[in-house]
Amino acid sequence: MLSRRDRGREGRQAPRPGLLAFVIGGRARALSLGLVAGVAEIGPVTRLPAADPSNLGLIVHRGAVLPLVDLGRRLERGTASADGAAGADGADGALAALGASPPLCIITRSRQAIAFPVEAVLGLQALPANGGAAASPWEILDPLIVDLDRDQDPAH
Amino acid sequence: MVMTTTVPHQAAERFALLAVDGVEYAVDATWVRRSLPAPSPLPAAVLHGGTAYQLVDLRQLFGLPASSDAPPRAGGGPGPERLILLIDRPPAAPGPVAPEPAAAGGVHRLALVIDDLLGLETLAARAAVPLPGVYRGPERHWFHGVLPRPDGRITVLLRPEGLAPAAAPSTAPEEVPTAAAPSPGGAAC
Repeated sequence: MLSRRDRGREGRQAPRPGLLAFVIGGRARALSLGLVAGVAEIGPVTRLPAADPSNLGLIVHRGAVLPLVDLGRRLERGTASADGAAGADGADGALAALGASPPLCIITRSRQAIAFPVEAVLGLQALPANGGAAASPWEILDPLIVDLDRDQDPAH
Repeated sequence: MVMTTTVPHQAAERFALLAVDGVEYAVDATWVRRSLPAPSPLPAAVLHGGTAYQLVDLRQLFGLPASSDAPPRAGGGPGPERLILLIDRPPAAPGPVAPEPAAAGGVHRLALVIDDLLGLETLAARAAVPLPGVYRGPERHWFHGVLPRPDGRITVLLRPEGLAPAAAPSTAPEEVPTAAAPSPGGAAC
């Protein structure tokens, strides 16, 4: 049995993973494990009509209905100007563009969980030792998920 | 598929199932009057039995293409001939707490243009869940919520009073020939 001190040493030598890394839009991104509920294959998607083209539709995961949200499109909004053609592909186009076969999605652990498709899952990664998100080789999407969760709050 | 219904008040959880662009929708059967083949071109309104029904093409309302390239889903794809579903607010149905502007204006007789009519079914509507919060656009007016089915599919519950366009039709109603439709008196799905 390890002493508390040994466990501490071991913890320093092998830091516990704190991020799940994945690829969206050809770029490595990550989410804190505290915001990740799981990774799942994307089954049938019910293409619910929506004004926001980043809402790809609905999926059923373990009996729960979850919205499938194109985070890549939401991320592009911050860098690209408004482009009406951007929404033309819809759910089929967005899912067809994914590299993973079968397509995978990550399910968030938040008050109102969402699922978002990813092109690949890179695995668990340790949190950057110093500098936090700024020093991370991955773009950390925690703020986006937190904002999405806040936006879904009816009281917001 | 052509259907009529004559039991508007005895089917609190009976729904007419319909398909648009491969998605299955359900509308409370108490709203449904009958279905008819959709004429081409579509009129602005349908006159049936002396009553005018304002036409609402669900594909157009939902921003979908006029025809779908998606593979049809269990009878859910657009067939060669679309249908019109006549709906009307049942007399005893409680009105919405906060009526939609269109509904408040009295537009509650609608002729919904749909891809296909899938039948009548009793649904456990209490198991329906509201739209996820990421849906914040006009779709919140169109749908009551969604119902996960035991087989894994999702049925979207239409909110008839939210489908009415705000503007009244500008052209005269067109009488739709009913010869192709069965006579009223029973459901024939």
